[in-house]
Amino acid sequence: MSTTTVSAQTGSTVFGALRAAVTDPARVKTRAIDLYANAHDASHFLLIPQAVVVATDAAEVGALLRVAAAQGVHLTFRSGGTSLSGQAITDGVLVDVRRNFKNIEVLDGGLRVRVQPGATVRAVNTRLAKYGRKFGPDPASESAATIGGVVANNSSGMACGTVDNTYQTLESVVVVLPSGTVVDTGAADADDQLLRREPVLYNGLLELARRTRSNPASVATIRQQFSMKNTMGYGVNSLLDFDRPVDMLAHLIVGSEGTLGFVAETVFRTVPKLPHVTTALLVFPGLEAATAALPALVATGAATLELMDALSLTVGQQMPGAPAIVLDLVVQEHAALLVEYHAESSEKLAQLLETGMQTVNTLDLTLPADFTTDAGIRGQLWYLRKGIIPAVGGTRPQGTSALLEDIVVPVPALARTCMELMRLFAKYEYENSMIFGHAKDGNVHFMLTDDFGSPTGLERFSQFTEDLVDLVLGEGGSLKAEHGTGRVMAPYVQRQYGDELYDVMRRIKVLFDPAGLLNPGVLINDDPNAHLKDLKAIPAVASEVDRCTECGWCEPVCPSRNVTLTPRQRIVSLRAIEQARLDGNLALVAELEKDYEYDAVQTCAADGMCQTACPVTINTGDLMKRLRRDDANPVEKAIWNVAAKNWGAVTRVAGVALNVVRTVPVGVILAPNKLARAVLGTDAVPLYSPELPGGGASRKHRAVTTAPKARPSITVEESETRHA
Amino acid sequence: MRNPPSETTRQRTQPTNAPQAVYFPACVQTMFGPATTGTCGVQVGFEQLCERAGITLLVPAGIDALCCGTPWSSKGMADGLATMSHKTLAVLRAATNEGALPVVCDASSCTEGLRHIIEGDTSARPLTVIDAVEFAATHILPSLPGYHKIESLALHPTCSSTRLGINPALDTIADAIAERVEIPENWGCCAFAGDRGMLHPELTASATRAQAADVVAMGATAHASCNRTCELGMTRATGKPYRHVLEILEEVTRP
Repeated sequence: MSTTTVSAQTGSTVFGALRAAVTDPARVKTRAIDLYANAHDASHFLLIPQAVVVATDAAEVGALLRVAAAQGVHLTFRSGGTSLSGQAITDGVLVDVRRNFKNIEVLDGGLRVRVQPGATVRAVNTRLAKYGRKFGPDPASESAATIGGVVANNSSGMACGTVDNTYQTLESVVVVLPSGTVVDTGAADADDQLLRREPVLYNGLLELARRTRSNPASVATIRQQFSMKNTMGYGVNSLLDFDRPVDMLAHLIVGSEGTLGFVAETVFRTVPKLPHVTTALLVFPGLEAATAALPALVATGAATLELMDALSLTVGQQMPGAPAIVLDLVVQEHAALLVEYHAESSEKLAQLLETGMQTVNTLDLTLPADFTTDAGIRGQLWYLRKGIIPAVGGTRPQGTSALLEDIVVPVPALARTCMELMRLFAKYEYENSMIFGHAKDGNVHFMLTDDFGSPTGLERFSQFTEDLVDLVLGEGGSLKAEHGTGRVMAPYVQRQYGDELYDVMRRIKVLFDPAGLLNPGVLINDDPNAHLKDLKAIPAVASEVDRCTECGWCEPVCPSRNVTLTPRQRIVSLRAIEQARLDGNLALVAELEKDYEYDAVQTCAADGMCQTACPVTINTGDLMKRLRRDDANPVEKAIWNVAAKNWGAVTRVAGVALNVVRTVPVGVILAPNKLARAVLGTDAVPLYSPELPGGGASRKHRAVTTAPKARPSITVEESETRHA
Repeated sequence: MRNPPSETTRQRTQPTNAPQAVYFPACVQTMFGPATTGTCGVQVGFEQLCERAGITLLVPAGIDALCCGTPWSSKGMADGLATMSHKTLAVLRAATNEGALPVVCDASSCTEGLRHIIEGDTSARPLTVIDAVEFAATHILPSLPGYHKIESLALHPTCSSTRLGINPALDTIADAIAERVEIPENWGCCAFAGDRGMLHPELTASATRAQAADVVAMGATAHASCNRTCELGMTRATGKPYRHVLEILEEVTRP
């Protein structure tokens, strides 16, 4: 076991250096539960980090980069952890930039906004709402997706298309480069500063721009590829779109998936929040009819055109609060488009709708088009659409994982691409693959569910991917429209762009990060089989949570998120324990279980807020309560049953005890109270706190009120003898 | 959710003393009294409001021995939960005349707990449980006389009011109390969770840190929630006295 010893020594040197780089060493976490709970993002890949560091500011990230360079470890920045392509996982050091990077500053009366990477899209929109503005990118995961990931992935969404995506709405960034240099691209002299402080990078970018602009084939490929939503490889359109290297840098950072630098702060222009909206679900007899209607509907100025195929609709019917139009449908080969028009006034909306209806009326629809402005119904329709990704994943068979694809083709090619996809699903016997997504932009998603870890599952996925790549690239499309290249499509960047532009991209990585410190294996990867490695295993652990897809939507609403774990982390840690048990790694089982009791079980408020955010309605609190039950000390359990039989006396005693407490100094109570907690456990004996009020009155007695009584009380109390 | 428009219900709108709802005051009121000496607590406040609206409530006999079961459910105490559920359900069935009257509860977590208890009720006419906030928004607010609103109210919706879907009713009551109602931007569940905030104070401290700063910055005239233990959690976090929104409504609308 000499390797273990060596790696432990190396580890302790690295950990020591990391701890020295942050102001509070406790923010470098190395317990097994920290590593396994934080390892997972929403993708089907899994790597376990060596350490998790909760960073506080850009300066600290700069210090961590210097440690990484000196110690030869690599860093991966993680915020919301909702990404799907494997770009937010690492076997190096994971840096949490969500907890302490939450500032949002509204500028120019809402026209612009300065945001840090840990703020969610929803939080930004909440702040902007009173100015009548909103954030451009509109990913379906807006409640949990954070600005760090939005920038790192050039996020777009349902409505924003390529017009108001991250690339287009970004004004400036504050970025920490791997060299430790901090660049604010919004500073008046930013370009001069970049030349002075990073001359190699500055001149390298100029040279790449010259090289690309002078190559007509490169220009043609870039213009064609980036006319669509496209998050494959680096955003080399920056080299054509901007003349100053500092602007190229700012826009290359967009979509760089944490491989070029750390984005500490970003200024965006905002877009108007058009308050008048009307929505309808157009139901077509089949996918072909729905996709064929797209060009005409795009021409009507629809803000969104979200496609859902028959399987999506069937899954949607199982979701709580599904809209009536879906519940009432006997789904056969149907497909639907969720169509929405946005306008600044009701008159303008009426005009838009009138134009739209002229086209809609010519379509072959199964049900009459029923546009509504009703917020309740519109909410149901969008809940249906936004919940499909996780809900589809939630219906997968036990022991399989879900993999979400994200392709884009020119809109006129979408219909035949979808038809061909369905042929591929049949050829490879992928049974539950529904097609849905942002049809307006030619961008659709579909999910594959399989046991990708098994040899047959892996071989099938490998061959399917080859066929998919041929199909999409043959139509002039992109293999990742908005989810980022990640690990899943990194092996295909070269095939999509050709050798010359791929070399430009490799050169970009070397210019920014010559030592390869940041997020290796993501976006650029020389291993042609990178997409077939490090796949996540999902063992069954408990019926309450087995359908969890690890999407992370529960995390922002969980009250224990900043003190111990989130619901997703409670679930993945349990899966890690089970996987370790299956692997026979009993030492790891014991190490994880040791901390699970407090971090997961005891500090869950069991408030069910996670269920309100979960697309597959998991209440992780239910599982934590069951674990408490299974753990409950038999004596404690018996006492609580006695209490149930004598509740009146217990509540009165508790009330009297609090009244007694109020008459004596706090210290007199706290000392023995803390002693009791030390002896009997902090999960059994409550800690008294001086702001607790005195006890209340018995519920049956009418309390003396401070209010004047106009009339005799008409509240009656039932006779005590009635139940005697 | 609301009173079914049956013959019996309509008869009860006559000025008689026949009860229109069974009132289930939560036991947390007994354990944790009013926020400030001299204030009345939600039970007296709610009863006063009902009195002004001409609504008669019935508090079941033996109420002091009853509970919604949430303390046992939260601690995973299955035997105790079964014992309490059985006891409470039997009393409520009798008091509501086998489901003819709705049950009104004055703490959102307990309303949710009672809903869980009645899930196990398989009788022909199942019980209806309404939170006092929702009951007041529908049955009390429309009949209150003219009064002056206070300037501003900091509002803390709870996890249970969110899960029960009664936040719109909570907003309605809050809007009736104050000219300006503010929910902190960093609002979230306070994690007091019955006694969990006392077992693990670090949990509530962490859950409330950001929203407490928002609340302190607001400097609102009054602070309200709809569940006694959450009011304690928010009081601890902000140093501001949180009270049940109906207790404040009673004060503001007092003739």
